[in-house]
Amino acid sequence: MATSSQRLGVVVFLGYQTLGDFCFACLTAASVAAALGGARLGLIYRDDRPYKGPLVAMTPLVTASLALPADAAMALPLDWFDPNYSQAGWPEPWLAQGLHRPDLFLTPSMMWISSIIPPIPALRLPPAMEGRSVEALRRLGLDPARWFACIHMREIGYSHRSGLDKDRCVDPLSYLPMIRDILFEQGGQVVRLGDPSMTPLPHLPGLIDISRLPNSFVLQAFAASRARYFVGSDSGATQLACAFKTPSATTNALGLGVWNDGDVMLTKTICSSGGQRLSLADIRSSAMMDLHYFRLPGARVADNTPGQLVAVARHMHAMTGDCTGWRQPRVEIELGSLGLVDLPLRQRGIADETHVTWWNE
Amino acid sequence: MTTPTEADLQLEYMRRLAEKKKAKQRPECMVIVFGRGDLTTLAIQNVVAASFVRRYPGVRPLALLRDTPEAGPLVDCNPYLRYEMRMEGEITGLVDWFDIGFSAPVTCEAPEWTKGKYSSADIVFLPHMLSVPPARLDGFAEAPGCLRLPPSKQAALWSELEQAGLARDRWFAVMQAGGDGAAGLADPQSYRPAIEALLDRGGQVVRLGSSDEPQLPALPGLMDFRGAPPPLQLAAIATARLAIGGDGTMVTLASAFAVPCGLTNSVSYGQRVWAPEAIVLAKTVELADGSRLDTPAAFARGFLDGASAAAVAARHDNRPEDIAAVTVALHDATADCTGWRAGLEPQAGPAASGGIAFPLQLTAQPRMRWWQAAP
Repeated sequence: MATSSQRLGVVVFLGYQTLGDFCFACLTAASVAAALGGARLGLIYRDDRPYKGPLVAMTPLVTASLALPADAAMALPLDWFDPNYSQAGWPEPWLAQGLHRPDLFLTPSMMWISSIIPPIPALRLPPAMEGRSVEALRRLGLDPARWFACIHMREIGYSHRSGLDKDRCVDPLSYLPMIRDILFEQGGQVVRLGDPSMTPLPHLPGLIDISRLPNSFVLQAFAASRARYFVGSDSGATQLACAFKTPSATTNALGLGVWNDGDVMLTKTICSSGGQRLSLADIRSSAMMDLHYFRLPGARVADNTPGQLVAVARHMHAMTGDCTGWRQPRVEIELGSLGLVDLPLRQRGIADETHVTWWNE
Repeated sequence: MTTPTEADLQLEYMRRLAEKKKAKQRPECMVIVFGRGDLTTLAIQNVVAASFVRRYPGVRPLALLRDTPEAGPLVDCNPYLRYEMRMEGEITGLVDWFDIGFSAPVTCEAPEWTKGKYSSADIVFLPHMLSVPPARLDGFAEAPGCLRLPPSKQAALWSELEQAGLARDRWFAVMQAGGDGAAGLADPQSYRPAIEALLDRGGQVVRLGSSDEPQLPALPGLMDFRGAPPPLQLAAIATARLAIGGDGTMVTLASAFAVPCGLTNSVSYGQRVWAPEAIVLAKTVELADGSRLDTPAAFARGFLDGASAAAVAARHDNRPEDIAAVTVALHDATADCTGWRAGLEPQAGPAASGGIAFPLQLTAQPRMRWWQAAP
């Protein structure tokens, strides 16, 4: 056990698979370490998605990480944390930092975004990732002298979530008017994020589609971090942009996927099983957006209209007038001086504690 | 007044669900991982875990342990752990069991785990997180965790104690004349006046500890349980009126069973005693300049907490008369126990008002009695 003069040791098991959940857990872990005045922070994750390793590298305050093989046959026994068990398996940095005997052990159920300890930290790209990504985006045709927006539209074909949660999916073509507005009315460029299963978009000058590039997570994260603003749907890519504190709008939303002041939330139209259309007031007061995975039983949803999406993008453009080129990365992190944290971490209503703009229909 | 629509009811349900989650400040589900280790280590892990459980009435604690000859019987004696998973192999559990993702690659399918939703635990105690000195654990004194013999086994164990020679109608004390390891060594003969004091007062004395320690002369009422089966030794400790011993496992176990203890010839106390009624008589500390510190002074200067060990030139064994004086004081303080001690029922509370603060907070002021030996 650490004494008051030592930095505390916190170990977090990031037992999530989806991008958004994993982002939440990384940020919450960093917030705990920050609240403890900069604790030693060890992250354990199963290396079964291409984004997990990079996200761990992008998480501030991490002092050690341990990637478990994707092969489920290889697992980490809890016994490794037992002082009377062999230490032979631990990587040297874990032993050197005493993270094999942490003061605090956090598991996924403790790490939801609503458990985050303010101020909410941000991800940041290590310099090596930045340099490679700048060049890659230039080669793909993105003008480094002009700002760009990032977009992402959730579809049903993503290999790890194929066929799941259809209500959160959208018709990507419904975003075309918005894309054209960004390109030709606002004067920006557009970088589309996603995965190779996504519906191709028509060729438009200034539209760079990197969703089809294999192994491009770091590039996509870099784009999300440097965009003037981000417009996404209810999906992990939106949380990724938000995690970089890029001004973000979540559209066609069924859960509150943004949390920074000024971010925008435009929900799908939701009708109860009895056919009653829920008002924005109903949706907000029910806190269903905070609960995220809880849905109104039997509810039916309808997508946002292209006009709504254009309006949201114009709002984001107007709101980010100070960003005329590629966004400069944020590097600061505010350390707390609590010295201790209470478990369970207090669940905060993100919608109550941040100033997200709920888009008025 | 209008009748609420189905949508109204559904929204209200979700509203309440969200409010419940936000209002949650206390743990509802704990996973307690017991490690390998000697009886001292496991006893401390058990009482510390029990202390946290009793502060949270309604909490669902799950003990994860390997079913070893050391761990199993102790957890049997922990009345606060209502649910447990005993693993027969080398592994106690997997980190992956806490994965709550939609497509977790490794899950625990044991009914105890899935029914209790332990993958979503609010708190996970790892073995070393429970290996803190109870005497210094903030809040422990107000809500100590205590072990007791399993009610289903107590009658049989008491019967065995009788068969081993203990009179059922008389109280008895347990004694370990010396301690564990080199630091706790002491001359068993120095405990003889204490034994005689107990016998003179109508008690019986059960000697425990290592069979390697020198024999003591036979005395009527003195029984030697060294080498007896561990369950019988454990039963004797749990049933004794009081316990006197050196810096060894016996005293730790007696403390865990809430048996009033006198810790003698000690060089530390953190793993041994924690109850306010416990008495500590440390070995006399001699410093490099030749000055000597009695127990209160040694504690005040941190020599009983492992501090400044290099400044200690020597530690001198307790005098027989001081051990006897501690023993008599403990006898007098336990006048309410005139027979065999029955275990304490598990007690709830006092309920904590919030969550558990990590890292676990230690107090500088343990509440035991530091014995001031006569000049």
